[in-house]
Amino acid sequence: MPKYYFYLLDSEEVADSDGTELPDLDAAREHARQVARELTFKRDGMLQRNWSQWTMSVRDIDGQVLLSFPLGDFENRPTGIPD
Amino acid sequence: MQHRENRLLAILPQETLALLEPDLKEISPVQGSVFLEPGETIDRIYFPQSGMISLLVVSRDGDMVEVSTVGREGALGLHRGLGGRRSFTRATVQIPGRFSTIAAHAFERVSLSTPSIRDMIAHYTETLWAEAQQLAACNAVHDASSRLCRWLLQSADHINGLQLPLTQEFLAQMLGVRRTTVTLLAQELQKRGAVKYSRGKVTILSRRMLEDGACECYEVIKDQRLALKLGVNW
Repeated sequence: MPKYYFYLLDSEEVADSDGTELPDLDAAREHARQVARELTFKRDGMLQRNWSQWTMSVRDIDGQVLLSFPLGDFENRPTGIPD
Repeated sequence: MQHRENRLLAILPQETLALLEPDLKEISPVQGSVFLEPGETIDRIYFPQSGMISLLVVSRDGDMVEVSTVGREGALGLHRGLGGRRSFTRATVQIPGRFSTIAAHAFERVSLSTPSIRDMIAHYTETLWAEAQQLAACNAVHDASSRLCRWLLQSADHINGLQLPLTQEFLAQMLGVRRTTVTLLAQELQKRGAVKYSRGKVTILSRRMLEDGACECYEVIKDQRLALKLGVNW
């Protein structure tokens, strides 16, 4: 299974440098969304910066960005799930 | 042997501890040792002097969630002193250390004739019940970062040290979130200077920062345990 690497980006980077093995990009997208839900649940942001300033990105082992989305999408939604 | 390193044994009167001492042994099990499986008859009681025991509920499809921890302020299987009991959970050694242990029948024999031990069992059970209620609420209403801070502080108190040999996989299981989530939260705590982590080990650099980051459940549970230790209301 390929490894996917999950990053939070603002002016600085918070990285999951170990990566996670997942079957395919769809599974990586769902994993990223679930992590985003868990991070934003009842919290305003990270490192004193609001979620609207952070972007979640998923990269492959070569560092190529496969997908990204703003964490702000997950704010203030009762379910934490953006449409 | 240092049985009084365990806070429950430490609060027993000397003459009561003396009744247990001939049957108390000291062991140093390795990480991952299993003391009990769900449904098993409790045949020994374990009093950690250092180290930490995790109590895990195992679901039918094999998922495990930690529901409680036992450190030097507690004991595993203590209620067995009131008669035959089975375990609800799997109990494993999460952080290795020294443990005082006694065979259940020997403990029961002393406890049935010693009111101070029965009082200890009743009050400790009450404390566990209060803790379980607090944690059930905590898991439902508090965010993962606050719970991570709370959990690191509790573990440090359990082992009376600042170096926790805990993997992020384990912490994720403990908090009921993805391992990736724990990694990102731990990175945040590290960037702030609260912890330093390397493979399989978390070192607490600033208790105060973790206390600021933790939910109130840390203080509530600590106060309940302190009340037990001091023998308040005994």
